[in-house]
Amino acid sequence: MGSGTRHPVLVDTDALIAVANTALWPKITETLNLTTTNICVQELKRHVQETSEYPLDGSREQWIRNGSENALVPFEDDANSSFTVVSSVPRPHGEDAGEKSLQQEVSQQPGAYTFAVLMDRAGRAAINREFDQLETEGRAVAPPFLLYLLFDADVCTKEEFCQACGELLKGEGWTGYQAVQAAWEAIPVDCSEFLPDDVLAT
Amino acid sequence: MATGNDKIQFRGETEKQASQIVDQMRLGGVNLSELARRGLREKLRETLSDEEKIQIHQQYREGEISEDVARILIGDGIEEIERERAAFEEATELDTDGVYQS
Repeated sequence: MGSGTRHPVLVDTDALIAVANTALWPKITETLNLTTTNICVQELKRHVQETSEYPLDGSREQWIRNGSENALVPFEDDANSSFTVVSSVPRPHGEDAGEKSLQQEVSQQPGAYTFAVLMDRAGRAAINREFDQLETEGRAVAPPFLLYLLFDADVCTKEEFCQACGELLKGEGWTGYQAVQAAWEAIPVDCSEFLPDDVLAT
Repeated sequence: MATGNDKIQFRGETEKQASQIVDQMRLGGVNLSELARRGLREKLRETLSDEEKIQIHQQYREGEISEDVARILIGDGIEEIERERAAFEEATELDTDGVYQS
């Protein structure tokens, strides 16, 4: 497991599960430098252990297991210095330990991070309050931002970006929908030509 | 179901008795209409599935339902999209040094 180095992009468990389920995950692993915490890695491992080996096709369980398995691969590769894991001290507890570990990292390591990527809105709000108190600039954003980083660097086409957003929409329900809508409005980008109408409402 | 006028009517004998009890206990009574409006908003929001919320937001974006109505049903979501859009825009302005593998 690569450790020590703090890259400017810090990601949590649910954000990793979301993007590791998209067809752009291989490009993310080849293109971006990402850091997560040992708490998030433990959450990913627990997801793999606690879900059925053969979950139902299209189930939430399958989404979580598949995303967790994919996400763990680069972080568990000792030779991969682009995907690093830092240790959280003191160790946060509870259901939202992963999010708390990111918040703790941002506050303990001022200047180390520019972007914190989380699926949970309350977690993002807490980290943005943290960033606002620091002298260095930073923002907590939702997972589509990782897809945008590829799109912005011309690593993927608009169609690939839109298709990956569609996968997030399908897998993450209303929470993912809000994040994807916000991304489309912010960039701005019109994905309607690449996505069937019903992907937005199924 | 609201029709041409804005009155909502529904059957509820026991609920009516219950509200009358509270009404009699309080000086000035209770504003049943206001309670019902608030209760209905809250319960409508609670009953919505993810798919329904997404459909409502789509209809709102396409101008098929008004902002007031959309905010009753998915107000939190509309605000969250606005908040995340602002955060996302700010993030796109930040330095990406070290973000990409060299």
